[in-house]
Amino acid sequence: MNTAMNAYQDHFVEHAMQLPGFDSVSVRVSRQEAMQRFMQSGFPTQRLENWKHTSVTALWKRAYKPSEPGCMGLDPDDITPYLADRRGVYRLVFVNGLFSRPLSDLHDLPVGVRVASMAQLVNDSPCEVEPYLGNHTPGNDQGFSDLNHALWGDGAFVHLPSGTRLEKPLHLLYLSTISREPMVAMPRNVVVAGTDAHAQIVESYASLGQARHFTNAHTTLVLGEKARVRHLLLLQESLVAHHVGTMRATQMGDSCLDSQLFSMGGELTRQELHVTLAGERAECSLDGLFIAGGGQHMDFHTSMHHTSPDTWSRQLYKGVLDGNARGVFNGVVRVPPGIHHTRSNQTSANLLLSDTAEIDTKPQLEINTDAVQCSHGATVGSLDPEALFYLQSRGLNVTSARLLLIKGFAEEVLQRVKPTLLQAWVGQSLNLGVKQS
Amino acid sequence: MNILEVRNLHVSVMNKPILRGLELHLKPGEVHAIMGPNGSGKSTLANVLAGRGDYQVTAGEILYQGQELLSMAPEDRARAGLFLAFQNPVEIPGVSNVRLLKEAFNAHQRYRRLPEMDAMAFRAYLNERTKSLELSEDWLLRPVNAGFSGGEKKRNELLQMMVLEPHLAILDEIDSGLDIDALAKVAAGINALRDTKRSMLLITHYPRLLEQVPPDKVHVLIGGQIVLCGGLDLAGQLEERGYGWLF
Amino acid sequence: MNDSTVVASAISRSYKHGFVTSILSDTIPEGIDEGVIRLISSKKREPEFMLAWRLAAYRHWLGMIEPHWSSVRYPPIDYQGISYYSSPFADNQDSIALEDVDPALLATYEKLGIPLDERLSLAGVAVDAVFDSVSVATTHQKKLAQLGILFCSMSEALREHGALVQRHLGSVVPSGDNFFAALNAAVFSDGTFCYIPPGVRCPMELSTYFRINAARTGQFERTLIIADQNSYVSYLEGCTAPQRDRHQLHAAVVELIAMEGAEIKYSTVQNWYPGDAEGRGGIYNFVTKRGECRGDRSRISWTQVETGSAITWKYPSVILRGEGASGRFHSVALTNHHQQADTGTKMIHIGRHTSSTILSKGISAGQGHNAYRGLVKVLAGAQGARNHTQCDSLLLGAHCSAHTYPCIEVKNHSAKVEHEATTSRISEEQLFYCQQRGLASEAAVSLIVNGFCQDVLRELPMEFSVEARKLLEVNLEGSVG
Repeated sequence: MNTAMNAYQDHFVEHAMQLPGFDSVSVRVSRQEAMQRFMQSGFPTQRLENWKHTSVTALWKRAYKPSEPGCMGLDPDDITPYLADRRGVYRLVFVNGLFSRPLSDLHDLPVGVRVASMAQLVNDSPCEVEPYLGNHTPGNDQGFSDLNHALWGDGAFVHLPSGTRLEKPLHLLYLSTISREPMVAMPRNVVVAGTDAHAQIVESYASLGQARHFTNAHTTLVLGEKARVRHLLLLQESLVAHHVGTMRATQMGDSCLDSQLFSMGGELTRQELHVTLAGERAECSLDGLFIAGGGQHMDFHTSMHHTSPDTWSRQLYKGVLDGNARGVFNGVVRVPPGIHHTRSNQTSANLLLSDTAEIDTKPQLEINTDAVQCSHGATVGSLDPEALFYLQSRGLNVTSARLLLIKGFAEEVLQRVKPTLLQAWVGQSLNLGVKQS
Repeated sequence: MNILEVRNLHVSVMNKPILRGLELHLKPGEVHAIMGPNGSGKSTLANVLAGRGDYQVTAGEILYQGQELLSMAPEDRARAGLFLAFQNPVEIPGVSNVRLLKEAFNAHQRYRRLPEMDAMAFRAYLNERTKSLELSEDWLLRPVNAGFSGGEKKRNELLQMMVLEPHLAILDEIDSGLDIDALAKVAAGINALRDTKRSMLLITHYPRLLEQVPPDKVHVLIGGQIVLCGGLDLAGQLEERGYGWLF
Repeated sequence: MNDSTVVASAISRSYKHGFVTSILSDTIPEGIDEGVIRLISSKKREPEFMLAWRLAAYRHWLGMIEPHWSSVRYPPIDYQGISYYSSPFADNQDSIALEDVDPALLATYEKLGIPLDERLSLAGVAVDAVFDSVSVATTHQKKLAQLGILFCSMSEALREHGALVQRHLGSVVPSGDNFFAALNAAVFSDGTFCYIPPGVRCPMELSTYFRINAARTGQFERTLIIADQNSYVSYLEGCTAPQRDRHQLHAAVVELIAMEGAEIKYSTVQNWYPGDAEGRGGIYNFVTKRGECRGDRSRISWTQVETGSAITWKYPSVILRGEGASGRFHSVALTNHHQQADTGTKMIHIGRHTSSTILSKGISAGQGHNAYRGLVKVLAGAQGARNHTQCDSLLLGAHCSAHTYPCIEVKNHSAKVEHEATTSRISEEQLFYCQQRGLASEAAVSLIVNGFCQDVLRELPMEFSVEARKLLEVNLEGSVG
C-alpha cells in the first residue's frame, strides 16, 4: 500500500503548482493538510468497521496515474449516448476529470446562477469557492476523501442565489476514456442552493468503452432555507473501472433534498451519502438501486443525522445481485439527545439471483431521545418461484420472466425519478444493466 | 342539578381558537345531540371534556355533577363516571380487551370504595353483560382494537361503556364508518344503555343515528358556538337543507 | 400533568432482593494468577485435564484485550481487585446434606422465593442453587436420575461424569472464544450440568438460581446442557444479588448442545442488582451464551427477560448446523436510570433448510441505554434458510437511548431473510385512552409496556411469565408526579 501512497505523494509534490488554486493560500494549505492526513491514515482497510465488507486492495494495487490536460479530443457525437437529452438539459462535461468547454452547454442559464468549472473558478475568483473547500471529516477511515481534497483537479461549482430556479436539469457528466496507463480522476463538486432556490442536478459517471480507470469523486451539497434540490446520481462506468464517491449534504430549515442513485457499472464501487438535517422541518429522501453481476462489488453507506427538531427522512435502497457479485448496504440514522419529533424510515431490499452472489446489509438506528418515530426494515430473498411460474404459464420464457420480475423490483425506485424525461432515460440505462447482469 | 354545565367555553388548539363561547346544559337522563359540519369544534368539545392534553381552555368553566371539571386528571374524570367513546379508538398491541376492562373496572371499584373482582368473578360479570353485543368469546382475548374493523372498534367502545356504567357518556361520531346493519346494532346498544339517570352526548354529522336513538335536544355547532337548538325535527331539517343556510 | 412527568415518575424502581446474607464464607484473596487457578482447581478436587484446560485458557486470556466495540461504557475493571472464589462451605467440603447447610443460607433462598426443601419447592421445577462460587443444593435429583437425566452442579459432574464433560466442555464456546469467555474458562467455579438421554422428555422444568452474596467477588459460572437425540428439556435461569455500592463482575458461559431431533428451551429472568438511581454499584454482566443445533431437526430457543445489572453484554446465539434445525431468540431488555444493555443474538445458518426467528423488545427509561446488536449469517450451503427478525424499541423519557445494529450477511440465493425494526416513544394516544377508562397514569404505562412485551413473555414457562410480568411492573412502578 505504501508504494501507491508514495506515488500519490510524489505526484502531489511534483505537480503542486499545476493543481488548481495554487495561488490561494487557503486552498494550498487545505490541500497540504489533506495530503498529510492521507499519508497518516492511508487507504481504508477491512479492519475499520465501516470498511469491513469491502477490500480496496485491488484499487491501490493498480497503479493509477492522475490525469493531465491534453488527453482529450472528443467529438460531441461521442458523448450523445451518455446524455439525457441534447436540448432540455444544461450540461457540464468533464473528460478524465477535467472540464471540456466544447462539449458543455449552458445556454439560457438564469441570471445570477453560477455554473462553472471548479478549476477555472478557483484560479479566477478563489473567494467564491474557498468557503466550501476547507471542511473535512475527521476519522481514520477518510482516506479517499482526504486524497480527493489533496489532489482534486476539477469539478463543477454550482451556485444558485436566493429565489432562483433552474427550470431545466443540470447534467454533470464525467467521462473517462481508454488510455495507455490507467488514470484516476478526482472531481470535486460543490452545489450551493440559496434560500428558496430550486434545482435538479444529475451527476453521472461513465466510461468510453472498457476503459480501466479510477474515479474518486467528492460532492458537497448545501441547501439553504426552503431550498429544494433533486439529485440524481448515475454510476455506469465500465466493468473494469473503480469508483469511490462521497456525497455530503447539509440542509437548512424547510429545505428538501430528493436523491436517487442508480449503480450498474464498475468492478469496485463504493459510494457514501451523508446528510445532515440541520434546520427545522428539513426533509430528505434517499433512494438507491444497484444492479451487480459478474465479479462486481458494490458498497453503499448512508448516514442521516437529524440534528434539528421536526425533521423527516426516508430511505429505500434496493440491490439486485447476480453471478459472483457482492453487495453491501450500510445505513445509519442518528438522532442526538433533545432533538424532538424526528420521523425516519429506512428500507433495504435485496434480490439474490445466483448461488454465488452475496449481500451484506446493516440498517442501523441510533436514537438518543424519546419523541421520535423511526423504523427500518431489511429483506433478502430471491425471485418468487410462484411469480416466475405464473409468468411462464402465460407464455413467457424463463429469461423474459426473470427480467420482468427484476424490472418490477426496480420499478419502485425508478418511479422516484422526476421528471419523466429523466425517468425514461434512467429506465433505458437500467434495461442495459439488467441484461448485462 | 344539571349533570353537565358548560359556560362560555373558549378553547384553542396550537393558539388557534376552536370553541368560542360554547354553552351547554345537560340534565340527568337526557340525551343531547351535537351536530355540525367538519371543523366546527365537535371533537374538540369531546376531548376537552375527557381531559386530553394539547387543548388550551382560554375562558369559561365546566361543571360536572356540580364539580369543577377542568382541574381533574383524565382518570379521575373517568372514575367519576365520565366516559368518552373515541372517534378513532387507538390500538394497544399485546394488551387484551379483558385485561384492560378488568384493570379499568377495578380502578372504578376502588374509587367507589367497592370490592375489586378477581379474574374469575370478572369474567362471569363480563359474560353477563356482553351477551347483547353478540361478541365472540375470543373477542375478549384479542388485543385492544388491534386489527379491528371500524365497526368492531365502535362496538368495542360500547362494550367498555356497558362494563364501566358511566353517568355521562360522550359518543364522538360513534356512527362514522358503519354500514346500516352495524349502525342498527350500535344504536340498539346505545338504547339499551339509556336510563333515567344516565346522560349522553351524541356527536355526529348525520341525522341517521338520531332516527334510531332519538335525542331530547339537538344542538347545532358552527364556528365554535351553538347556533341553534331544537328537537328531533331540527335534525330532519339539516338532512334536507345541509348546514349552508345557518352560516 | 404532562406525559413526560407521568412517564418519568412511573419508571422509578425499587430492588427487592438487595439484602445481604450474613454467613461465614471461605473467600480467597483478591487477584488472579496461575496460583489462584491451581487453588480453585484443587479446592474443587478436579480431574487433571481441567487444570490444564484452565491454565491454557488463562494464558490465552493474558494475551487478549477487553473488547470495547459495543455501546456500553464503564470505568476500567480491575481484574486484580476481584476475588475469584467464595464459598459458604468450609474448605474441601464439596457436598453437604441439606440438613447440614447453614440455616441462614436456606433462609436466603426461601426469602428469594426458592425453597430448597423439595417438600416445599414448586412442583414441577428442579433447582440447582448456586451461591457465590458454589452450588449449595440441587433438588429432585433422584427423581430425574430414574429417567437417566443427569442434573447436578458442574463440580459434581466433573467428579462423577468426567469423560462426558470433557467431551463437550468448550465444544460450543471454546476456551479462547472471547475475552470474558477465556476468563471464565480459567476461573469458573461452578455452574450447572445437565444431560438428557435419547428419547427422554424431561418431565419438569430444570433451573439454576444464581445468587451473588459476598462483596468484592465475581461470579463465574459455567453451564453445559446436552440434549441427546429426540430429547426435550426446558431450563430456567434466575439471578439476584445484594445491593452494594461497588460494581461486581459476572462473567458466565452457557453452552447448549442439541443432537438430532432434540429441543432445548432456555429461559432467563435476569434480575441482578442494577445499581442505584445515580448509577452507583450494580452487576457488570458479561455473558457468553451459545447453543449448537448439532443434529438434524434440532431446536434451540433462548428467551430472556433482562431487567437487572448495571451493564448487560450478552448475545445468546445459535449455530444451526443440522439440516432443518431451528433457532429462536426472544428478548425483553429494560434499562432504567443509568443501566446499559447491549444485547442481541447471532443466528449462523450452516445447514440446509434451517430457520431462525428473532423477536427483541427494548425499553429504555431514565438515562438508560439499550442496544440491539444482531447478526444473521447465511452460509453458502444453507439452502432454503429462513430468518425473520422483529426488533422494537420503546423510549420513556428524553434522556434515554435506543440503538439498533442488525447485520445481515447472506451467501445463498434461496435464503429468505426479513428484518423489521421500530423505535418510538410510548404513545400518548394509548396513554390517554387508558386514562379515559380510569387507569392511573403509572398503571397505564405499565399496562402498555406489558403489552409491548407480550409476545416475548408468552414464550416463558407459566410460573416464570407471571414472575417476569411482576418484575417489569416493579421496575416501572413508583410514583406519579
